[in-house]
Amino acid sequence: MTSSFLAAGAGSLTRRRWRVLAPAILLVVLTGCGSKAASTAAEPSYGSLPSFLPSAALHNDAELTGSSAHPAVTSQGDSVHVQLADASVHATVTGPVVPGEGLPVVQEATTCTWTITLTGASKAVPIRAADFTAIDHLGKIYRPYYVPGRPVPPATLAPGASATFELRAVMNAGEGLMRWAPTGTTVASWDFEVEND
Amino acid sequence: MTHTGNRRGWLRLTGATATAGVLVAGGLATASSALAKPVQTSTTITTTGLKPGQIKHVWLIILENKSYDATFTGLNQNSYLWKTLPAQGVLLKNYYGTGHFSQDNYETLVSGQATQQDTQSDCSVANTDFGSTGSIITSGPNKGQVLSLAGPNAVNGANGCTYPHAVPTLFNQLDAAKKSWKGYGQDIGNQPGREDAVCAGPGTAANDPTTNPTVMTASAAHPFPAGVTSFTGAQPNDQYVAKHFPFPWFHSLTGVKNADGTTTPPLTKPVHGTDCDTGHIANLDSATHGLFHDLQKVATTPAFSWITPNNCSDAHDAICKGNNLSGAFDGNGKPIYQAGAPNPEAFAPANYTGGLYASDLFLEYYIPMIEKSAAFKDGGLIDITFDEGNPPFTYSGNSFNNANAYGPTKNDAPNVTSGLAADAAGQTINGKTVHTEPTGPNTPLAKDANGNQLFPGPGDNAFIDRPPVCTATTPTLVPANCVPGIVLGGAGQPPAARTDKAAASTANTYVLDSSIIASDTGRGVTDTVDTTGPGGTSPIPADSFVGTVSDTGPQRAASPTGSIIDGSFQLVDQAGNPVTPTGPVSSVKLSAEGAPGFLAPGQTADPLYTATDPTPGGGDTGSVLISPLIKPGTTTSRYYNHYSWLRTMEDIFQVSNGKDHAKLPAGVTVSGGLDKLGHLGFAAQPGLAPFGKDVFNNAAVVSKKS
Repeated sequence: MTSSFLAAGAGSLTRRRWRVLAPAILLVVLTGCGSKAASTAAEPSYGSLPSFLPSAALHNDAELTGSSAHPAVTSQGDSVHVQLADASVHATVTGPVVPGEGLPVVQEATTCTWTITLTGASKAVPIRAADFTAIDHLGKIYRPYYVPGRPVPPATLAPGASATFELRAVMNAGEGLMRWAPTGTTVASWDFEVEND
Repeated sequence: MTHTGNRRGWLRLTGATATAGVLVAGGLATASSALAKPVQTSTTITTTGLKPGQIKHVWLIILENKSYDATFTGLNQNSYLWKTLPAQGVLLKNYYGTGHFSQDNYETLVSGQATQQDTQSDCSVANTDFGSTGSIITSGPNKGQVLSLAGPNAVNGANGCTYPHAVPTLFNQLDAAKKSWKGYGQDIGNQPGREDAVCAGPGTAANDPTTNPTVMTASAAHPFPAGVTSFTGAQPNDQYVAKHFPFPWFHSLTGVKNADGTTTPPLTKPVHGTDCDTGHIANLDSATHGLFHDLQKVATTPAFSWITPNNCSDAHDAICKGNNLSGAFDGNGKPIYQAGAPNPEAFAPANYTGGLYASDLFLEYYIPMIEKSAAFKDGGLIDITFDEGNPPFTYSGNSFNNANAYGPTKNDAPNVTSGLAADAAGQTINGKTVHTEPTGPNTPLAKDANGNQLFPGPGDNAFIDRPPVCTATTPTLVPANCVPGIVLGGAGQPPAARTDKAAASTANTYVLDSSIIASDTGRGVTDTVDTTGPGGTSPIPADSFVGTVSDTGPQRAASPTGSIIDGSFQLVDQAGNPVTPTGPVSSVKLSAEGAPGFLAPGQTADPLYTATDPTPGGGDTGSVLISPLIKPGTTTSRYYNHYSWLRTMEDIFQVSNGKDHAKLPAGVTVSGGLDKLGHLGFAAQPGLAPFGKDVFNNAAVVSKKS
């Protein structure tokens, strides 16, 4: 949906003292603008990117690659291309979904349900609820479990197959991180927030 | 390395312990020793876990005004900062600013001094001297802090902005430790007369805080120099703002022009030159003193580099007054570095969008430039942080404008809790997380017997609403012993009625309104053209309210006066059911808000109103640090703040090994700091954790290899 009028309104923006949308009409006098400088995409001559950094091929909104050596950290909803020792798979964590948002009485903790999707395994990939742990902003660790009554994934994801399943834990409201460690060490983490107010 | 601390008694004031009665005769209020609880003195300090000298070069890049939620949780489409850079280093999920709205944070970072009203207000009145040598507190919990000569909680303009000569900074400590440093400011010097005071201070070269203060707003008596349109905000050809550059605000760096015509030199002398010369304060893109020039060799790279992007590149301005660097990338999104002297502002911008979009452009240009240097590869540390976590994401302005089609639901509507998050405090003391910070002598928190807050505190009530005036007796009884008006701090009062240009029709239940923000959710809606009201012909049915608000952006602003938001809301009835207008709508009036429980007819409850919650800090901003000594793609949830940062830098560079032990007030020395361990101000809190092994999580590995 777009708006036909674009002027940022004063309204309640002006209530706050941080001044972000000054509406003054300004002359655009830009330093050196208009003269497209003799531009070259020259690299700094003094060196190249250090080897310990992840590939510089990362682009905005590109899928991250995660491994034991270089775990990926991203936000819930994002897919991560997980590289295991002898297999790879695309993993996505979404959620958590919490019940009863906006209730008159807001509890400190709530039931959280995440949806895990694994696709495109190159070789067999183990699936265990115990490989997923959530940690909250105070450092408390939660061990989610398969949601009762919901489909339980196979113990091993076959090459080329996909699996979608749900995990659940009761967590304190606040920030959290869902971590996947299919080989004992974390390969990817998804940042999320538990909100029930 | 473990230090043995002294066993001096220490009183730490927290929001919880600061209560009524902090004002005493003569305005000399301190953190009320009668009210603050003694805290057991720690005998050791925690350390960084680094070996001495393991980090040789630090680059701090400081951005502006974003909460952790806005930046790092994927709620915006500017992913270089929240996705690419954390993959290269460690993400500090709980890193807190220490105040609002800007300048106080910068000064805290480099000196350990707490907030005061003039710097909380970004020195918006005049750059006069703040406090004096004699007003440095010599005992008690605020030992070493400068007390305003106007007393605690004095209003903006009454305190002054530039700290006394006897207040050392990190840079004085680096001088004494023979460590090189430089402050880089994007656009410094672009407009003559605008930041020509010493150390890139606001004003002309003739201005100084003691004898010829810079008046920050223009008037007939104090016109701006030719070509200058603002000292406090950006202008098209020069988006540098001195309030985001810590150096000019300390006489210990600038020296003093005394009233009797004499001068006092800076407190310390660097290895080469003087503290505010071009070897120490430079335009970021200077061909002869800029960042690229200095990165050519390890020998020319300062040990510590402070980098202040301009008011566009630091994500402050939602729409930039000038160049946002969007023209400095090739078709593949690769930065274009001109041979010899890169200058991204030489390219005309493709648009004027600011916020996190602009800061991503800045970081994508300069971070690789640093990472490719020899100095970075050998014990380098890049630290990208923010001054304060304000505003919270779901509100508006420069954070919300970066939303990626994120429409808050009714349950995402702002409330006091989320507002207060922007003013939260956090640090780690003796291994334990605390959600407070020292308030210092000038912005103490205190409440009356009814629990009403008397003062704004370090958080300055940034994103909540307070009672209209301190002395009001309705709607909430506020005691008469507070300073009138001061309780408001930077907060607003419950909003009055507002008229917005809008567009809606019988086609659906949505109203286009570019001014709408999430905190408007729940306000009553009436048509301003047909005012017949309930039972009349108005196209807005009676008892209609603002439902789900959706602001999307950022749009690419075609000019500095464009807009980057598309806003709309769903019209709902009292039960939350969608309501369709019965005719075309071109303008709507939103109801006034009031204090919950004390609503006048026609008012709706102000979701941001509170009279009782304290605002103890600057909110969670998060930080990213990149170094060979840090494992890529890691996170830590430990709590840190600007005081922790200062302590970390002091430990990294072992400033306590410096030789400047001349006694300053409160027993402080440049090299020994306040605690004789090299820590200044509240960076010397006993037991305060500097960045530790959770941050420098590859240091042991690197150490073994070397």
